[in-house]
This record gives sequence, structure tokens and C-alpha cells, in this order.
Amino acid sequence: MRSLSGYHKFFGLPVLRNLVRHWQKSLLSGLVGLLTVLLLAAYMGNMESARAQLAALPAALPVTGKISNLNGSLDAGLKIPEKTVQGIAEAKELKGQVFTVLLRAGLGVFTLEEWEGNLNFFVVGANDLAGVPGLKKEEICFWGDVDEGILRTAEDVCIVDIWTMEQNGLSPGDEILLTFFYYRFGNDTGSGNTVFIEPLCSTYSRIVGVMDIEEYTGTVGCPNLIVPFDSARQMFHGQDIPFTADSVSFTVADPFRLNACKEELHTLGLLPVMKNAEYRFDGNAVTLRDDTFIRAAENLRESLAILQGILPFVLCMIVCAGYLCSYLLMQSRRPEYATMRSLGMSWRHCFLLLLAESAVTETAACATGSLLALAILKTQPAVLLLAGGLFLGALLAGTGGALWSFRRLSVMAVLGRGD
Amino acid sequence: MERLRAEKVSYCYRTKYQTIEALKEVSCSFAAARMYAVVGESGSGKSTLLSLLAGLDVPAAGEILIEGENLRDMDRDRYRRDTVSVVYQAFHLFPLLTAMENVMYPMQLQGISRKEACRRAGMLIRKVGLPEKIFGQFPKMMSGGEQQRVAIARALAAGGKILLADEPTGNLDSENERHIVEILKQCAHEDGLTVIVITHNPAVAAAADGIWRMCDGRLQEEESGK
Repeated sequence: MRSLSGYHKFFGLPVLRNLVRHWQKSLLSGLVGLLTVLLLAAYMGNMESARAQLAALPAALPVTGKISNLNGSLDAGLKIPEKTVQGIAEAKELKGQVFTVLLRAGLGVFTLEEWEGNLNFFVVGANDLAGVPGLKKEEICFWGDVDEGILRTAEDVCIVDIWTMEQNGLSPGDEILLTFFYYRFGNDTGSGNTVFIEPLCSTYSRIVGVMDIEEYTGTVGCPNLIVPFDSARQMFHGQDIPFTADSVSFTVADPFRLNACKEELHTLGLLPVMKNAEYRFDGNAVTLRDDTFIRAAENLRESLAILQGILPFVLCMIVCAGYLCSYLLMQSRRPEYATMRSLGMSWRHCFLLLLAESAVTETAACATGSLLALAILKTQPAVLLLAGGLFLGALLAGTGGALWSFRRLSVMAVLGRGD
Repeated sequence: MERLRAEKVSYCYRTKYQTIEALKEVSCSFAAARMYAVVGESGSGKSTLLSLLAGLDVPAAGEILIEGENLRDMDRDRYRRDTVSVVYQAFHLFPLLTAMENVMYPMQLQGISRKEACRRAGMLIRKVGLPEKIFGQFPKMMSGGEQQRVAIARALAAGGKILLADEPTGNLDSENERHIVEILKQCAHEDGLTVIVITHNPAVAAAADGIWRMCDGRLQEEESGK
């Protein structure tokens, strides 16, 4: 068997020299390749962009939800049982849960009968500042090392509004004795719901922040005090009083798993809103603001599906382009091919030599096209790599097909007189 | 010494509508250091016979033996590379290679170093009577006679024992024709090659040591003029 070294000597340089000799054909073939790479890069860039937009959609259009009453008319001032609160707090498909409970309070110790002149404060128990409608983060000045994370603890602390501080001569860091009252929802009498104010407990609370709300947007009175949600909850537990939350809101952890989320909410006993249901304070329905997300996701998925769907056709077209280009360009090189064969070059060697010529041209075209795409279309390098790989693979498959068809070429018919 | 032999070689071309029997049990033998002419009408099967002798195709029936070895059992690419060379009427030089590069081509294909191939190519071009100024010229810059001489130099470059020529003087004037015939005879008589020339030209045939006539796919030996 013939040694391979001879072949090696007769491979690299001849390929490059052939390319230079056939520079017009190489240039034409390269230009076709370059344009194809640019188009493919633009096409795959679009596909990647759609994919990236879809991936970024949950952050751009978060799906939020709120507990409401059954007819959907109330999403605050509700009677949301503790079991539901706990279920939502522990739900896997939810994040950013915000819970609030409304209380009333006054300075010192006093009874229900002594409420007049004492029960002056509206209190919100919240685990997050988002639970106080209209309150901005910069409207609170925390004292010492404390920050808004204090609301996620169960400490006996409070944030007091500046007006209350001034009226009562209070200072940040003061321990104040407060008597809390809660709203008790009475039984439905058939003509509506009844709400009672009942004593809860008296406890000391340390002032850890001062707030100055400019524009309160809630429905109940502007809060004078904010306490941690769990500290309020513990007051109920300490008095053996069933706890109910006033409002619950959340964000869906993964909006692409909306069905799993709805299923989880359903297992917590929450129902979809029924517009015709009776007006009640019971927080037993859930409203998800998912319309915009679903519409946007569907549009993006549809675009992506169309782009992905035509990818095989695009690749087929590149294969065909590779085949046609090579076939047509090789027609004028038939005598050259036949002469090479007649001089004893094996078909395999001819095939590889011509394929290598094509590979070098197209790799150069691919690199140039990718650089142009990077500069003009700002296509991501990873996408360009993929596009380049697909282009080279498809084009060389087409070229290989065209060169393969030369296998049947009669050398004598080309070189001889057809005698 | 017999170098090349065809035994009852048959070949047919198959088209969609018909089968044409180009060669019918052709038998012939060619000795070393002799020049043969194969003559015959167009379509008589001369080029088909040449194509089979050149190892470009295999006979449908019969055998071709090279110094007793059956061509069927040989690596035909290697046979074309090392043993047989063909000169064509249309020269078929690589148009984008210089005369020197064209002659070097078969040697480089054999794995001979560029330097050595260059040295030998120079010698061969001189041997076929071309001046050094032709070395760097491209085929289209040369006359037909010069191109044919370069083609012969390329055929000799492989160092094979058999030289086939298909109408080598068909595109040349009589002056060049005489030169080419002389070179071919020189190849046979001085270098010991078996030279087989396919020709319509009686003058070329007359210069051969042996003449075979093709007629309707059959071959007959004729008395040579010598």
C-alpha cells in the first residue's frame, strides 16, 4: 500500500494554490457563503432573541396574585384563615408572599369600655413594606442597625409615624406599652357581615423606625404603627384567639408552571373568583394577573416555534445551495478532475482535495460573515458559532453530494473524443 | 518481450434504450520498446480500447494483462500513477499550472519531493525539445505543438512503462506532427516504452512498428510499412 506521506505532501499546498488559481470561483463561492452565513446568523439571532425574551419574561412581566373574597370585590380587609396563610407561606410555586393583618391600638393599658380617647392608632401587621399601600421605602427612617428585614421577624417592635411620635413625645428606641385590639368577623346574619373590635393584649414594643407617609393609598385609615406580621400573629396565639389575615398577595415563582401553581392554590382550598357570588369578607378566592404574561408568552412561543420549524428547511436550502454551487462550479473543472484521475489520483483523493478547497473557502467565508454579523447584527458569539457550524456542516454536505456525483463521471468521455 | 496483452476483451455501453457493443472479443499484445498504431474509423472502438488499456475502466469480459499480471487484480489508481501514461489530442494540461508545474504534477502525486520533481521536470521538458523559457509559461501562452510536447513530458514524468496516445497529432500542423512522432518513437526505441498511438493519420501509422486496425469493435493486425 502506498505511504500516506506522499498524499500529505500533495494536499495542503495544492489546496491553497488551487484556490488562488481559481480565485474568481473561490471568491464567488466565498461571497455566496458569506451572504448565507449573514442570513443564517440573522435568522438564528432572531431565534435566540425570541428565546432570551421568553426566558426574561417572568422578570419583565411577573405574574402576581391576591387572595380575594369569592366575588372578587375585596382584596383587603378580609378574613383569611391561618391555615391558608400558612399554606401560602410554604407554597413551592409562590414567592414574595406579602401578608398583612389590621389591628387597632392605643398607648398604655385600657379596656374596651375605655376605648374613647385611648384607641387612637391604626396598626398594620406586615411582613413586608409592600403590605402598606403607598408607603415608600425612603419614607421610613430606621433606628440603629435595623432595616426593613425586621418585619420578617416576630420581635416586639414597631415603626411609628412621625405625627404620632410628635403628639406623644416619643423618640426612636423608646419602649412603649401598647394595648392592641383586633377585628373579629361575626357570623353572617343573612343581611351582610358584621365586624367587631375586640381586645387582644397589652405588650411593650420598641420603636425601631419612624415613617412619614405622604400618600397613603389604602382603603382603611392610614396606619400610625407598623408591627411585624409574625409578632401580631403571636399576640393572637398568646390569647388563644383564632388568627385571620387581612390581605395576602404573592408572585408566582415560575410563571411557566402556572398550571402547577393553580393546582397548588386549589389544594389550599382557594377557589377561582365567581362574579355572581355573595359579598362576604371570607378570603377564599384567588385572582392571578396572568393575562398579559400568557399573551406575551404565547406570542413569543409561536414566533419561536415558527423559527424553529423552518430551521430544517433553511438547512436543506443551504445543503442545496452547497450542492448547486459546487456542481455548477465543478462543471468547468471536469477536464481538470478527469486529468487528475487519469494521472492516477484516486477518486477519494480527488474528492478530499476538492472538498478541502470548498472547506477552506467556506470556512473563510464563515469567519468573515460571522465577524460582519458580530459587527452589524450584534449577534452573540455563541449563536454565531452555532450558525457557523450548521452552515459549514450543511454546505459541505451539499458540496460532498455534488462531488460524489463526479464518481460516475467517465474520465475517457471527458478527455477523449467520445469515440 | 510482451508487456501488455488484451485477451478476448469485450465492452459495451448501456444506454436507457440500447446496448452498444464497442469491443467484441478483442485480443492483442504489445511488446516493450515498440511503437504501435491503432487505426480505424470513428466509432470503431479505438478510444474504448485505450480507456481500458489505460485502466480507466474494466472490460465487461476478457482480461488485460500487464507483464502477466491481471489488471483486475491491480490497484488501478496505482497502475495509472506508476505504469501507464496517456497523451490526449486536446493535451489536457492543467490550464492554471505552468509547463514546469504540469510536468511536476505526476511526480508530486508519487510523493517525490518538490525539489527533485523540479529537477526531473526540467530535464524532461528539454528532452522533448522545448527551451527553458517555456518552463514558466501557462498552456494558453504556448502553441499546440508546445502544449503537446509538455503533455508528453508530463506522461514521461511518471516513469511508467506504457505510453498511450489518443490522436496526439490531431490538432497539430505537419511540422509539429513530425516532431511529436519523432519524440514518441524515441520514447519507444530509446527509453524502452511501449507506445500505443491511436490515430487516423496514415503518416503517423506508417511510423509505427506495428499497426492494429479496429473495425466494428474487432481488432486485426496489419502489416506495418517497415
